[in-house]
Amino acid sequence: MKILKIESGRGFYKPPSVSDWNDIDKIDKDGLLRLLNAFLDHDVEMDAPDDTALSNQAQAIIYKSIFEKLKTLADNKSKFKDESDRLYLAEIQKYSQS
Amino acid sequence: MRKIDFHIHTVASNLDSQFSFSMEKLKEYIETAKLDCIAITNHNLFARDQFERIRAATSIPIFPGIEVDLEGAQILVIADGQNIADFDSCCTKVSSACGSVSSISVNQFQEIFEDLSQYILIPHYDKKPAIKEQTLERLRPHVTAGEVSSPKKFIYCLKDADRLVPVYFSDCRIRDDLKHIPVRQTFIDCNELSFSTVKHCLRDKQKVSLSEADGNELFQIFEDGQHISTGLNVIIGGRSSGKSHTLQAISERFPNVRHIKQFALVARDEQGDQMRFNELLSQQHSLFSKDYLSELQRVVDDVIDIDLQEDERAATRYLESLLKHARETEKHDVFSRAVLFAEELYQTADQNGLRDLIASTKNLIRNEEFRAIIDKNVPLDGLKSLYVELMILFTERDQLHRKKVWVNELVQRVKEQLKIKTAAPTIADFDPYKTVLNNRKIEKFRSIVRRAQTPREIMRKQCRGFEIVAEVGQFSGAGELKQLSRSQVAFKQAFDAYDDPYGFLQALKALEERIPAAEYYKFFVKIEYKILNKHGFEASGGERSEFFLLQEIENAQAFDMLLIDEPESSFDNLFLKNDVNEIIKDISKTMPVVLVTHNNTVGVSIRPDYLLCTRKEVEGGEVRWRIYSGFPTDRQLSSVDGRVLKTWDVAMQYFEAGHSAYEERRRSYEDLED
Repeated sequence: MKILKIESGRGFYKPPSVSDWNDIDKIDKDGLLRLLNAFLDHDVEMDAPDDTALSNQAQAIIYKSIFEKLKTLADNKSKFKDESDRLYLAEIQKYSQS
Repeated sequence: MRKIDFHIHTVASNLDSQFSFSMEKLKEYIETAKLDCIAITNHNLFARDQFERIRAATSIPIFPGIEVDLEGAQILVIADGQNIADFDSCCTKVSSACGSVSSISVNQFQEIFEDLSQYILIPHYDKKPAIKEQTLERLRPHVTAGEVSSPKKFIYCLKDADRLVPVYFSDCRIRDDLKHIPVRQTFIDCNELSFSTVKHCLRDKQKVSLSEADGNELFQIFEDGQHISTGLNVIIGGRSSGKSHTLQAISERFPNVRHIKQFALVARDEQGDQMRFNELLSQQHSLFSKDYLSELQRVVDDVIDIDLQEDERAATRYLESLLKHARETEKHDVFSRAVLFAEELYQTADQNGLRDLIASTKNLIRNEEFRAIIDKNVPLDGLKSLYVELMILFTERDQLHRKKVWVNELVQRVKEQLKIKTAAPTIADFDPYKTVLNNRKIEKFRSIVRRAQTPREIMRKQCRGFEIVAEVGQFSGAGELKQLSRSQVAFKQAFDAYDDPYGFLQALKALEERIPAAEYYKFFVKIEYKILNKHGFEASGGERSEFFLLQEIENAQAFDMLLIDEPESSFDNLFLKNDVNEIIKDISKTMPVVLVTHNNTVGVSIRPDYLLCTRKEVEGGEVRWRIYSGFPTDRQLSSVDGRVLKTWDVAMQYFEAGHSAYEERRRSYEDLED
């Protein structure tokens, strides 16, 4: 499943719940949250941006920032889940048994 | 009985200040103190040459030893002296090991000395720096006795079956300018002074004592051999006979002594005395005050960084930049048209409410004390499933919270980069949620401070016939704030804003760290302590002094000896007999107390354990100060140079102003009774 792509010098994003690709400069914070969820829950693909791939400079800034921030998460995908799950883990296990 | 001192320094180590050893002083010490046996124990070193010179120059048995820094404490290691070369080699290893670190470990200690059973081991026990419990456990089979720092602690260890055999040594530096010959030694009950016999005695509480003839009832205070009781001592004597001087001399020779001097507690000027008294009372109750203000402190800490004016400025900046951004559309470009350019950040509220609810549910599940009531009203299974559901909700929210923080970071980064590139007016950052929350917090803060300042009584407790009352209210002027701060800071400007807690907080901040931020909370609410007498009125100057004396005596528990100089000079007989005598008698059961008096209410009614009479005597034109002492039941009191006085005569002379005055008074009382 692909969530970020570059085509004809333009950057697009598409969370799994949405059918159409949208321009990356139209993304808002909720769109970012959906991309993050897709990235954590699925094996996703993302086109890597190179210096010349995106002709629109605003798109280049946004696309690269999102791509890099997701990339740094790649080795640590369970970060959010683990840190939350570790809280009171013993108690949850204990009280879930009865 | 044999008198020993196994803790003597003759070389200045890096733990001591410099001093020069004097062989003559050591000989004088041995002779004056009538010592039968000593050990030389320098810090982390053994000076073999010097030790052999000392041995050759003296006639009593002298054992080689070392005081080792062990696991942050100190321990005396004393050898039998048969093989000095071996002991010297062990001590050299200690010196090099302690040279690089402050103290060695138990393992290192055992490696160096190998067979510990061949030594006498005496750790600092009831003496600083005291051996740690776990170190003691590891060495226990080989530990011979424990060193203590006072007769009080010696008696305490003797009485407690679980504690080590106590020993009391001088720990002195034998320097050429030694002022007082030490009086801290231990007697052991043995005939011959072989290493093994001494070691055997030091393992037996029945065989150690503080005095030669009177077991642990007496101990030595002066180098001339003067003893006093480990319980209650009364010193009597004429004017200028050396009573106060004796107390002073005791306090110079013993550390950790509480010395209440004559007239120390008497009110002199009413206002100064009242202020001093209030301050002392506040100090004594500082924990109570801190506890009362702890919630306010939390609130102050929480609102300390809120700046409502800055919030208002931020809102204005935001609105103006937003209008400009909308107006100047011709300047918009690809950067400013990106949605993230004007995107607001997610609000990330904490989950303290849910967290508290989870903790409460857990309490209900775990509580044993009220189990039956909880079970009767709420089924345990229900509580458990509630806990699990809340926890699941919590983890979901927590995950979402962390994701939002992640997205916010990303949005922030993109916005910054877009702003650099665009020619369009940028929109200033503004957090409306935070601004509203800050306003609410300050409203609550104002209301909490006003409630805390509402005048009322917050504590009332009984204390030896008095009542201590704590009242809260508002400060009445800048002077009170200054007094509270114990500084020279001027509070005039700050106090002008005192009526508005938020404004006052800003004024305190404007003092720019001359008052630590952690102490701001203290300046909002005044807590005042009062002492009421048994009739419910505020105590008078005299009554305050009485209260002070009782407190001082009670606080002396933390010391090793208590010295009181003529309490009767400040108080009336009824108070002395009813209150002071009782509390002094109590405290003398746990530590030596020396009381100077010429008042029979104190001196006789208190029934001392030991009586001392100081006298200035002129012999052949020369003045001699003597102390005559003995048990009150003895027919006579004797001085260290063998002179005696009849106990009856002494009591008559100093408590009753002489025999004839006593007879006259007795007859007057009989007449009155008839």
